[in-house]
Amino acid sequence: MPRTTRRQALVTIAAGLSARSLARPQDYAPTVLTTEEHRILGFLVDTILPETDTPGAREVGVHSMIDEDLQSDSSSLGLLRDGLGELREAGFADMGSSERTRLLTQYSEADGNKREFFESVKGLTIDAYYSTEVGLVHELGYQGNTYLQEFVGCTHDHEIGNPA
Amino acid sequence: MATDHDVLIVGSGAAGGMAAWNLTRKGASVLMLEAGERVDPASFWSHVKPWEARERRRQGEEPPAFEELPLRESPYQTLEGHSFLLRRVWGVGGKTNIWGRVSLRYGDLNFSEPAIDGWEIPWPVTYDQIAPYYDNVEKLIGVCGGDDDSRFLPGSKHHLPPPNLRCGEVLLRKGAEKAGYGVVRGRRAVLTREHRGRAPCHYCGACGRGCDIGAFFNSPDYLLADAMATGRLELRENSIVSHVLCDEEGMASGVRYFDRLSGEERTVAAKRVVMAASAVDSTRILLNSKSSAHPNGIGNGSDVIGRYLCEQFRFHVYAIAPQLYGRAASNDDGISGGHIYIPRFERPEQKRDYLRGFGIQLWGIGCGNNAGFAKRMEGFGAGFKDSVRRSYPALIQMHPYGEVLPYRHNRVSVEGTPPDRFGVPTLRIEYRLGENERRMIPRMYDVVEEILHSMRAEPLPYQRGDLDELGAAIHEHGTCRMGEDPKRSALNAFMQMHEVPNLFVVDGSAFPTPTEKNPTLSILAFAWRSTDFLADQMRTGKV
Repeated sequence: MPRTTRRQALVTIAAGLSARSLARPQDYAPTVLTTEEHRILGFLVDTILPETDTPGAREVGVHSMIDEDLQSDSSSLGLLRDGLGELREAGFADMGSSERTRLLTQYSEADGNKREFFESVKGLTIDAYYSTEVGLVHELGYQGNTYLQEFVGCTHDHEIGNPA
Repeated sequence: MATDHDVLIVGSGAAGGMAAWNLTRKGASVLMLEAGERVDPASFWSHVKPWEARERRRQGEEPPAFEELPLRESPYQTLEGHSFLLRRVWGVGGKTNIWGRVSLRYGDLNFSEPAIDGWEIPWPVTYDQIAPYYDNVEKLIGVCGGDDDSRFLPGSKHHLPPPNLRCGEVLLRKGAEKAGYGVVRGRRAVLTREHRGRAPCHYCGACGRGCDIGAFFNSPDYLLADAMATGRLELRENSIVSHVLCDEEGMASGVRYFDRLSGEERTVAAKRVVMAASAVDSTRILLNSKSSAHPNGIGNGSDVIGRYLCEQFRFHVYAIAPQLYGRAASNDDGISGGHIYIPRFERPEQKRDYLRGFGIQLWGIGCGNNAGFAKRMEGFGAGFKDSVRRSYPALIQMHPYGEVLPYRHNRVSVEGTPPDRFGVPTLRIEYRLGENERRMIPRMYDVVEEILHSMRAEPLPYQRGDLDELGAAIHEHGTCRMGEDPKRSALNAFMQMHEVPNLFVVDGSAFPTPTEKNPTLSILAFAWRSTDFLADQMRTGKV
């Protein structure tokens, strides 16, 4: 039997989670964003937190979670719309990943609206991705919110050490 | 108006719960009015993981919305450009359902300093007078902590064992001590072992969502249950008190309240009234209680009620400990929040350019249930994602809390504010920091930087001088302060109104200064002392 890689296992988990919640991520129908805005947002969040040895933000449905959250808090909608519109005009969805990275680097180093848009999407992406089981448990290794008899704490002998 | 009860208490949080607990056990009958409802601990989302929370919301479920009710029923205004975050919980137990559990005794220094530096009036109580009540409260509720003892933070013989330290806390302690700053075990009202028949903490780290087993102090489990068991407490939920009523002599005679569900207006007579609706809401009710005997609000001939609002200002600095960078993640929940604390260290005799001082809280160290810190990290992409993963177990956070002096212009008022749906004026909050606080801020940043440097931690980007929103510490005080001088204070040393002897105010509004510390332990101690006095006065027929 072929050995399942860590990534394959996590994709399976992600798909399972999504099947329960969002049907399949690719089937999610946005409720606040347009289909096109949602599609571009998917590529954008995936540029911010891409697939590595764990799934990327798009695969776990971060763009759909952002759309979902906009239903109750639409304070960032205007900023998102303008920014996604700009990315559509720039042909972001059709770019290769290095081209996307290059464009987003410009945003992250810009002033004003571009920078604000980047920081806003980055923040939403971080909040959403690291609230999923994939992001929090499989990517970061979170083990908390469980029942422990005892809190063992630090068992090492950490020293401050010298500057490298 | 006839009354069946000896005492009427407004509010059911730390102050009201303690008043009810102490008075009922001494044989008094008590009617308690609470603006919100009971919260069933089974409805807490204590064991709902973040991804499960999203799924539950999709199914239309919500956890208890602790803070929603007061904002809807009794919103508040602030001055343009001077925001103030007022966080209130209306519901049985109030904020004790979700409080931060930090339980620091005020020290002799906290009580004596205002008389020495002249801001603004002296405390009418000394540490020696309140110390036995700290003992009593700690024995009753269970507070874990260390065996340290100083003039900044007096020791206790009653602490439960402190929790073990997280890796980042071990390093931070070493760094701070190397830089010359004392670090003590956190003192928290969390049961680290069984206490008075209550099960201990199981370290799930979800205290902020309410504890489903009551392993930290909260008024419903620790105070109201005992008071109920005496058969002498009647608790009326959904009762929004609007006014304290008075007779022709100006003595309190009852309260007016609105049934939140039916909207019906009701009055209830009372022989004695104890206000415990939280600092700002108790003050609002008192200011709205105008009569010919009390044209400026009940007990407010001195015009001090509503003024001298003070609490703490704070900021947050995040850093990464290189010693822990890239290590395997661990379960760092512990008792949730800091297991260590840096008490105030500046002596009043020391030459410096501001009064009072600050302590440093140290929550959020190590692996948490989110990666919000990553928003402060530069970049994006695969390298960024990897860096977030490596930084996650190495996260250090420092949160200094500085004392705000009481200023006359910092106030809550009800003049010309929009009415709530019952026609009762709502609140306006005017709050600004003064010169003393502005001089303290750079020093606070200096100390944080010094400690981070000493432990070799690398701060995530921050702006020196930035502060959290004012009010965010949720430690409001001063708006109905106690003191010896009736011209400059509303209450005497037993929290009894100078002008209205059968009216007591036992919540944080009574404290003339906020200190740099979290107040709940002190609120419990003072409410206990005040109601000992009240019971005594009742016994001898004085009120």
